[in-house]
Amino acid sequence: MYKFAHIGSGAMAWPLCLSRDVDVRAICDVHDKRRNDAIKVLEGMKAQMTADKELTPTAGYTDYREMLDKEPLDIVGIGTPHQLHAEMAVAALEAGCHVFCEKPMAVTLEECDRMVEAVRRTGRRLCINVGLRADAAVHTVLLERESGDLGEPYYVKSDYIHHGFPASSKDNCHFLYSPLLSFGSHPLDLILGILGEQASEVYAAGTRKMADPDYKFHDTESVLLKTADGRVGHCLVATDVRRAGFNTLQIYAPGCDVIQVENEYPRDDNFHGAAWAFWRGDGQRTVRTNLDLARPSGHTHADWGGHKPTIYKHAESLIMAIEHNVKPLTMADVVDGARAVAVALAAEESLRTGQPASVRQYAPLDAYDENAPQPGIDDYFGSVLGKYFYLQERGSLRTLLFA
Amino acid sequence: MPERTRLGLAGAGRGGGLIIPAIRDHGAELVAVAEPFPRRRELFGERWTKNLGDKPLPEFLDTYEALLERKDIDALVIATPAPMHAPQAVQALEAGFHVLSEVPAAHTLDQARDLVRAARAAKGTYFFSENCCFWYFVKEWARMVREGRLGEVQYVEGEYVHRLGFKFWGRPSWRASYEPIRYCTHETGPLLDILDDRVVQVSALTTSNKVFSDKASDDIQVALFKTAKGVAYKQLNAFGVNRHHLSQNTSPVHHYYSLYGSRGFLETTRHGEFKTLACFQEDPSENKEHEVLDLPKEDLTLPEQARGGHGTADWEIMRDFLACISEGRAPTIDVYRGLDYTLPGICAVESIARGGAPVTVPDPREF
Repeated sequence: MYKFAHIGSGAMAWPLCLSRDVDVRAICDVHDKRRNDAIKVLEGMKAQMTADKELTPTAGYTDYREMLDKEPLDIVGIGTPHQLHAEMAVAALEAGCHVFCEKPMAVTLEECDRMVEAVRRTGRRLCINVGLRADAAVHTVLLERESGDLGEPYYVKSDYIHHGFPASSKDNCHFLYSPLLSFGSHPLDLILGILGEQASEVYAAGTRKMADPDYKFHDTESVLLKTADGRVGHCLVATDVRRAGFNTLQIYAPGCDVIQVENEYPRDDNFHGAAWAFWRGDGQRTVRTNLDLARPSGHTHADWGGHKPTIYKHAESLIMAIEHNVKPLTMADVVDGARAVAVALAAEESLRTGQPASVRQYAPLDAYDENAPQPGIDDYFGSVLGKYFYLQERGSLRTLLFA
Repeated sequence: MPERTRLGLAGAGRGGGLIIPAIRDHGAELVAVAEPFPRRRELFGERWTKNLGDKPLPEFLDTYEALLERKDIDALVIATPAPMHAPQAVQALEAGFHVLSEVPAAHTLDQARDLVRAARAAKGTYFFSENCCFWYFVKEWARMVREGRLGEVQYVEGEYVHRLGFKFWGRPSWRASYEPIRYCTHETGPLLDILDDRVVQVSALTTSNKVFSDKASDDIQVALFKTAKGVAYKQLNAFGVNRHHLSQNTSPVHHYYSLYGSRGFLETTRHGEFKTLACFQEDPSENKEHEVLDLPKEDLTLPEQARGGHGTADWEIMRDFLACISEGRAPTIDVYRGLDYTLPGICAVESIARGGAPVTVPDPREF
């Protein structure tokens, strides 16, 4: 059983306690009410689960260092404001813990450097919660990319539309950072992951026609990026437009013609849809479908919340990465996280100067065991629910799109 | 001026389709066609007969220069390979013809300057034939933006992915070595019209040429434009990529447009049937779902026979062009506007050559 604690009592990482091998031992939050409320919810969830596994009562802390000293932990989740991630993550790694960290991984290159160095030094995992990698359609594309069938994608575009920020989030850390840093972690991580390489240079354009006067950044940012070997990406992050949550992924690659993924996240909690379009070869084979991917049938979106299935998949993915010494299946690792931050910061520089900006390079981690047997589906999704998600999504998408 | 406008056509391929409504529906006469390729003349003849029955075929000429020498022609329709449009338009304007030019308007900044000088000095009209500006949904979007339904527009995108053959009758087509971003006017035209704006700066990147071996140009080129009104605009062009559109089974072309504003957004579907996704919100906190609007490219209020040439756009272009000549009125898309659509592509090629460095797009009115 992995001993888990979470710093920051936002709801993001709670579904970890549903995972078959996790016992949530402690919650750390400086806000007493939030911490106590979280512990209350966790105790309620544990009470329903004691038939399956033996769980420890959840301790509360206000000082994460004290928690790291006193609790014998395996994994630490970090869901605090962006600017606190680096300090907390490095402390947790140095305490011998693996880290499950919210995006963006950090807010400066110096912080990224420290986190990458700490991972290399301690041999622990630092994984970033970028939800789109766990999206069924995206996840399938990533696996297909790994298989080599697509060849080297030569253009990858991802849009991330998030209604209502930053105007509605003045008391939130998002207000302190650019859309590309705060939210761009999601699409940039996909673009870089699918290109399979860090961008070497970026050029960005932005508008701030709707931003709060106190917000220092653009509300809409559009960035072109290129890799050293001449492939191109485009990322659009719009945080205050009149559109329900929406993300897209578009891939042009030699092994296909175009892959297009579109996910809409309406706010009514009744529908969570994904649409696919796929073109291949001579264009005669076109598959288009709508699949309700995010939850088992019979469950409403509200039952599961927007992020819970993602976090759940991440938890399984992180555990398997630890046990098999492989890269996590649905999460970004520390180098992926650093690369996305580096692109976002270079884009900010480009927006300031009006010129292209070069991007800090981070070499891939050499910590993974390339000869280790790759875990199978049963290893990844040992629980019935996890396997249900995985098989339903991957099986049906593969049949429809890649058979 | 004779009762019927007498037309000459340069390029019987694309021009063969464009010219039909002028003859069939708008009362013009086609005197001669400059077309060097025999096979293209044959195909022109087949199309002519199919649409116009036993009406006698126009005379075929081997060279453009032969067309310029004709005294029995009032106006030239230039539908030749893209790099030739501006020099041929300049020649025609200087020889006293009215000109309808296919897109893009020019291949280089020097050509663009020559074109402006020639159009200013000419007695004849220069009409830029950007068909996508005539699409019904574009006009509807423009009306919605004018009415303020999107609030202030802050971000737009345009994409054009059109896999065409790179060889015609054993010879490389002009597209085989043509930088795709130069061919941006099908998006810059509609989007800049809707915004009533022009591009002032561009930075662009290119992929390499890996997908199809039958061409010399790169697969995909992407540009970020900044407009005079401060709108950020992303443009993508590709010739060497298949992207069939479900609603266009016979034509593997993908057009995509989007506009984001302070009160809503408009976007064409990225796959499936060609429709408009729209959201209009008076109250920003509302966060409404978008609706799907059935706004076609064709203007369905026009006669049945108007359909078929780029929606109803070819029919409308020929109607407007001939009306400009006969009524002496200003062209629907003049040389400045044509170059507003064209110059961002030329400057994007320069930016690509300079590693993505931003390039200022000149105002053709200052040429």
